[in-house]
Amino acid sequence: MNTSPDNTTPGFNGHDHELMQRARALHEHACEHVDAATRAKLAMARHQASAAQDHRPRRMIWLPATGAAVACALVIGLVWFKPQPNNPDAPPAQVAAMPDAELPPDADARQFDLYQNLDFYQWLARQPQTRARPPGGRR
Amino acid sequence: MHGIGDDVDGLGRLAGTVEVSLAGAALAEATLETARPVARSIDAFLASVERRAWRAAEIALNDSDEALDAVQDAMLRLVRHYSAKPAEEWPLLFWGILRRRITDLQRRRTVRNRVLVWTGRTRLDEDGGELPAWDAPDPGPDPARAFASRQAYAAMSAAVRKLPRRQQQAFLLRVLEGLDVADTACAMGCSEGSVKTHLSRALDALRGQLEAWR
Repeated sequence: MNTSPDNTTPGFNGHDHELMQRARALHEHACEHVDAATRAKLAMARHQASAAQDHRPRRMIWLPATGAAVACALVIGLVWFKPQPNNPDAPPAQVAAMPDAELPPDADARQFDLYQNLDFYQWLARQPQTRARPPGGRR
Repeated sequence: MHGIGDDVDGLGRLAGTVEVSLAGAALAEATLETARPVARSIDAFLASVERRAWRAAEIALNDSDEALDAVQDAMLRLVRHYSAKPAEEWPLLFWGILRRRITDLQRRRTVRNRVLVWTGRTRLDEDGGELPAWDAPDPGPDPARAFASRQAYAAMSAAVRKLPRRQQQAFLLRVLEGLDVADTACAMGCSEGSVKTHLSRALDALRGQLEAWR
């Protein structure tokens, strides 16, 4: 029994060499004489594989371009719709520029009763000013 | 009578035997590895390898349609995943992919056959007969010679098919396809020493088959 690991050692004798040569010759001959139907199927399989390759670079080209466009749109959107500093005391810029008279009554305002009794307060404003004496106060 | 001259002749014959053996080993080394030209495109590479790949898969799978499926799948995987690799690496990658695909199909077939045997069903063709074990290649212009070659190839295929899987892969890649030991090891996913061991055992098993291959 031959236990040599490879044909590069002397353990592979001429018989092994002849066997390998014969096997390869038969294989080469069989590869050269493949029937037409199988050759056609192999060619079709190869064309399908090549078509898969043709689609691949196109997708790779569009991928960075699409990513760059999306990034640009995102940056523009962030700059354009940048949120204003949230200061509760300061009125919004557009509202602050408007005259007070054009302001509609604010339903959520604290002085909602002022607008309900507006006639009374107008009458009160027309009355002459008198100094009210505080109870128990000094003169 | 045994004299000095006989010893000299014996030494001469021994030296001649050693020379022949070493020359045979060197010749085997030189002829076993096939230097194939580097393909300029992946389509040219696939065109150069498709028939050999199909024949190798057919030997391993004993089914031309499954062999075709395995080769097509290997082609697609190579193109999709490795077409950007250097052209020198394509043969190694392709044979590695094909080897794994063949192993996968062999395992599936083993499971399927067990199920069919368990259920009492066998694989039959449309006429009810068992399918042929091997599809004969195209006879060519010389029918008698082609028939002899076909018979020899069928015998070789049957003998290789009977080998254990790893020995079969080592024989297909190393002997029939002509990859060197390092590339065969890479395609098989094992060490170079394992390749040598598998190939040695494969040749041990095939040693008595040469007469049937003539």
